[in-house]
Amino acid sequence: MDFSIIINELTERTLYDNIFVSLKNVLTGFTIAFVVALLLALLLYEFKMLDKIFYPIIEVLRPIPNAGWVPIAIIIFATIEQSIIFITFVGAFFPMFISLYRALKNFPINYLYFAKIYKLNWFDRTTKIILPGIMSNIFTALMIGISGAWLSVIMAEMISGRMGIGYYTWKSYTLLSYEKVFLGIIIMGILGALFSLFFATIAKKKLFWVRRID
Amino acid sequence: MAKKNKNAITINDVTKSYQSEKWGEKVVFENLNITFEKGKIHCILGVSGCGKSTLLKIIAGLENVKDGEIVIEPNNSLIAIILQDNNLLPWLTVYDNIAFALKALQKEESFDQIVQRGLQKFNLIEYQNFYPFELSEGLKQKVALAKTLVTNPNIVLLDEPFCSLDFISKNKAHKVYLSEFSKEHFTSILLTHDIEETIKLGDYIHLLGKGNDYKKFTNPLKKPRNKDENYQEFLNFIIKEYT
Repeated sequence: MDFSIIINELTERTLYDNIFVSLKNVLTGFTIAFVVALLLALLLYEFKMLDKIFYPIIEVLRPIPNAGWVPIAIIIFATIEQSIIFITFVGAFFPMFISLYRALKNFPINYLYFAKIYKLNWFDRTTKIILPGIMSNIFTALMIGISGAWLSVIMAEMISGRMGIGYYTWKSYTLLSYEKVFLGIIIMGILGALFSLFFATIAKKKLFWVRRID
Repeated sequence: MAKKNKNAITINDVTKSYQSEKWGEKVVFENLNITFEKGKIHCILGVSGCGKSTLLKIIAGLENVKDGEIVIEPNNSLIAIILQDNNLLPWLTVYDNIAFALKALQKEESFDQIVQRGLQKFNLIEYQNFYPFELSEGLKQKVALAKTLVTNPNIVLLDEPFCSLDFISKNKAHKVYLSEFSKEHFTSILLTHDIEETIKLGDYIHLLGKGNDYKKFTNPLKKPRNKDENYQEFLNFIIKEYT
């Protein structure tokens, strides 16, 4: 392996442009997925009727592999970038939704009694009791979700991308530049680990009381 | 002039049942009638599974009944409840846990002073910035009691609040509870399995058995024996259940 190619590549702007595009895609898809997963989980928790209708649908859609969504995304969305963000959304949404949905289903009833005794309205009950109560599950969902989003964005870029670290790695493979493939894989690993580390560090700081209970 | 009701809580023909997928409808109690006199401590004794905790939750409005009515007098009474566990929100400090109830009840103008007074009264000043996981079980129950009583409730419901405490902590908690009761004169219902605790704290002792088995006694230690016609029956119960 010629390490000078890797060192040379690290000084080129192209590599960083690709990293930037991947980061932009992953953060967009992941953020949308988190908001939708949290709101949908809260909605299904509050309204049993919606739960009965939507949960079975989600359970049918959940096992579809991310690659299976690629043709649909290309057909539905106008640009390649939008379809990559959609694939990233799918990769992050389902694990985050299931994690949050289960956390809400198992929410300790005693904490809900507080809301009833002190006659809290829906907003206060959600923001002062439920969300702090599932905060450790929210962080778990974020950590699982960002991994799912990262795997999906790389896969989507490899299949249909024009930019991004996945596209960079795949293009290098087709051009038989194994040094660049190796570099791409290392960058994917490091960035994925940094995402998880980011959420783990915040969780460690903010959720000291959960760790002690566990 | 309307006659003033001497009962704080009246349970009228209350039937409670649970619907279970496995067992179908399970009746906890049927046509239950109980009265709880105002300004007294009522201890409820009963075997596990007889519906004591359910009764408390029904009174607090946390569970619905199938049939019957619960009359709270006056109907705007503030009801506070301490459950067996999880009485404190683990993500809040002792101070914030106590303030939570006051803020929720919108006694906001002077809630800091009320919390400080509560902390002082219960000797919790040094623990005000502690989180529940940093407290012993005894202290947690003390904070729960402080949190409940700072709101000046008319009715205090306690579900075996002292059962996890050691002998010394339990005695201290009893003292705090009795001292608050003597000052505030709320109506209190205490669930317990401890006969000693019942006799020490209760003005009235309610025995709740499975189904519709219910009896009410005046505490023989708080009322002269010869005036209490149920005394012998109460003694028989104790001999039967605890020896």
